[in-house]
Amino acid sequence: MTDLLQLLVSGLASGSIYGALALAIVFVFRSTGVVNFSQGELAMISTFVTLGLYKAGAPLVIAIIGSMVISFVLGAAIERVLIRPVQGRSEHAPSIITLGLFLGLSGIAGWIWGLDPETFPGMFPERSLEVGSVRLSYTSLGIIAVLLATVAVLYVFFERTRLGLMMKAAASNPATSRLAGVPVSRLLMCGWGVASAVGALAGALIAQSVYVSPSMMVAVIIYALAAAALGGLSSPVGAVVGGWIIGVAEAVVSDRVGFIGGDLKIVVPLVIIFAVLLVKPTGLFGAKEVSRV
Amino acid sequence: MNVSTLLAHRSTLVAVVAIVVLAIVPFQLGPYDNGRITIIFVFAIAILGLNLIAGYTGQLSVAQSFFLGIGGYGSALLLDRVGVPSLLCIPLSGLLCLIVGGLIAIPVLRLRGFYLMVVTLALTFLLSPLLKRFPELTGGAEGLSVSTPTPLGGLYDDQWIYLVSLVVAAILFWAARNLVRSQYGPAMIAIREREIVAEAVGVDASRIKTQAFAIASMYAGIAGSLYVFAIGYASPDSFGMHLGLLLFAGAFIGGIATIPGAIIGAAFVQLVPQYASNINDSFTSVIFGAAIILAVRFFPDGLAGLGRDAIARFRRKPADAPGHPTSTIPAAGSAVREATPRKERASS
Amino acid sequence: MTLLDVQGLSAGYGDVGVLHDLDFQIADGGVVALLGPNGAGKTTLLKSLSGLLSRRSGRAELEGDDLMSMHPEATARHGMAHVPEGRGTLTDLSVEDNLRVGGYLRSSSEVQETMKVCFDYFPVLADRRTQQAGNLSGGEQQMLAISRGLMLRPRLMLLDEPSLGLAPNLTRQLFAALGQINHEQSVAMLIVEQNASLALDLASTAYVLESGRIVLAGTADDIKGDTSLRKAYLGY
Repeated sequence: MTDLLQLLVSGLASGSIYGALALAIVFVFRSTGVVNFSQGELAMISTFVTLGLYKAGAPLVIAIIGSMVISFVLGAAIERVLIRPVQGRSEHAPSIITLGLFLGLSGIAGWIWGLDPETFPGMFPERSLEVGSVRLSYTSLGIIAVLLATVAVLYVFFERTRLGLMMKAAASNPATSRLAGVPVSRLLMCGWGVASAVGALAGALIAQSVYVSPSMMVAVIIYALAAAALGGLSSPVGAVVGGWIIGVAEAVVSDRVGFIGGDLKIVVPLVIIFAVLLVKPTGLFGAKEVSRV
Repeated sequence: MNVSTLLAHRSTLVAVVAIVVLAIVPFQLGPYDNGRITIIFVFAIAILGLNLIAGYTGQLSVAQSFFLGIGGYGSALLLDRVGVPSLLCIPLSGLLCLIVGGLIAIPVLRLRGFYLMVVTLALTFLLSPLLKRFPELTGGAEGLSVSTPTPLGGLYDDQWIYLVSLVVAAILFWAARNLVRSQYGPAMIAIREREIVAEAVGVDASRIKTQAFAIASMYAGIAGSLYVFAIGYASPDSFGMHLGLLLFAGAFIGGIATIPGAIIGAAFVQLVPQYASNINDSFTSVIFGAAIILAVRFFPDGLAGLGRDAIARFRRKPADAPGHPTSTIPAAGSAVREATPRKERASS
Repeated sequence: MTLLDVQGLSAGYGDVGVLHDLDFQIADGGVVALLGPNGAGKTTLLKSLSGLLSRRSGRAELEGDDLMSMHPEATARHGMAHVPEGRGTLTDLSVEDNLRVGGYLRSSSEVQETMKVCFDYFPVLADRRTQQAGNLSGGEQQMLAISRGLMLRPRLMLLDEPSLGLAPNLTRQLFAALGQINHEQSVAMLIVEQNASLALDLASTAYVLESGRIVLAGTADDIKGDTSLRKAYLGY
């Protein structure tokens, strides 16, 4: 039995990882109205790119920024080439394409980089802070701090900038936005690009506790999707809070509920997402959703 | 006799000939090839179920592998622990999944679209740790070995399970075809196209969705049962997300709202990985990923739709043979497009 | 002076032709009513002018610029504001944000200025500026949609059934505001409307569309004054 406070902190740290990827999912949904099931696999590719740049001699920070730029281009290209042609065809066609990408990208990564796990350089000092009986590792604190900074930037972007407003408009009603002169198609590409860049950052955070391999995101993506859904899919703050709820619940349940333990903790996001969506189908922070006739 | 009954008889004739030919095959091939074809039948049953729920009813579930696992383990346990005769295990597994699927459907199908996909995807992650949690019952990570049913009339094991799978698949395909042609078919499609409108004209959407999900689960359960008999063991990691996504991909490749598409999709799911792994272990995922994307974009009715169009063009007849309603991916079609002539006429 | 000049416009969806060989003009600052039964192709006409519908042929020029090659973004840049049927507001954004989106092509000082103008015409929007557009009443949403178009500072507004679903007195208020906007902002208007008498009061010219063809054209006064024409084409 671990101290409850300790559980809380480690839960927040792993929750922050889910939240980071959920942020990328929310960003795509918010700016294009599509749920990207391949967000995790895209972030995995980004993480390999970061690692490649780092191994080529770039300092870690530069490698991450470089990977974010490359990921922006990759994400924008995917939107333009694969998503746009089927957008508007049906409600689900783009999401099904992203399920195809989920498979395809993991295959491509395995093909290029092989299946053997690799270690990712640490971003934070390998020490801990002792507060009373609780040990806080700098890695956990660093992950939480980077996530909070990211969500703050995204919040300001959406709520305070013109570009953010136009992205929301383009996602909300493309036709009306175009009639106002808003370059919707360029903004949709941009939305995928920014989301992929956020995913690259999330990948680096996730790689602090997971080996880099083509399957590194397979488990994380479910938690991230659950966090995004919990937060209502369109709220960056909701994504982070959703991630934390799932992270903490997972940590507490797997420590305190013997039957679940470490093996069955996948039940936690499943139960939470069920409970929340059945009570409040738009998530905790979601806007009102109107059924389309 | 009018054209449509002629066409109906023609497709029945084709089906009978195909079954007869397929029934001769196991006596010409070795155990290895027979086993491979048996798995195609098995996957075809599972994909057919998926077509009913995802293709016709428009409820995108990725969880078909979960029910394959439930059916497979159910059969293994019924046979080895309870001593139920093997042939009886197959329908009992179907019944088990019908009940489990129906129970899961009640809450799950209140979720729409994306949420449904997330929850069903999560289900595929759940099965393996759940099975490993009860090792004394399920054999844990080792899995269970399943004794092959005793063949009748001096057949070899592989021939026997091949023929059983063929017969079961034939029955289930016939049942699905009849289901789609009954008044149930249009009701399912109406739910896919516009659920609110369907309810407005008196379709009990939640009942039909739940029933379709339960039936799809039953198909998966029967497939899972045949699968463990054919393979000879049940392993917890055989029925995870990967198989779920491959079956989902197979359904789209074959044609998500078609009956014959299930066979094509199953052949794809069974055969492609074997050849692809000669190139690279990861190549299977690349092919399946690309295939989903291409299918959604260029041939929404899958390979079955392409073939149907080709035949129709060859015969210079419209491509609307009964029982295979021309369709697109779920919720697609003119009804949801921003502006259609029909809508225009009604509202301008 | 002619603002919009349309010659031989045809349009449709897929293989289905909806509009056939239309000719009409809108004068600078003029108001044209487009009348006719459901399904005549009125909405299609607006969509093919603003670029929402790309299957079209013929000639349509706005101050000499060819509209037929333009996307909606480009027609907006050329000063055309299409207020689509069913209001077309951004329901999950606030009233103010809706107006900001409408002013995408304008500088921020112009946006501030035009927003004030909109609030003068529709004071209720000022009271609701922070509310989500989706929570507004039908009439308020229509006012917002018109204001959103106005934010473009357009030369020409295409209005698709502004009175749809509104109570009669609200409709009269709305049309009074439209008349004021036309007058004070020198915006030309092409109004599709079921309420023919109201539209004819506002418009100077009217066209009646039936099955995608113009079957009657004339000044609003002529049509209003001729009972037999009204009975035959407009049913009142």
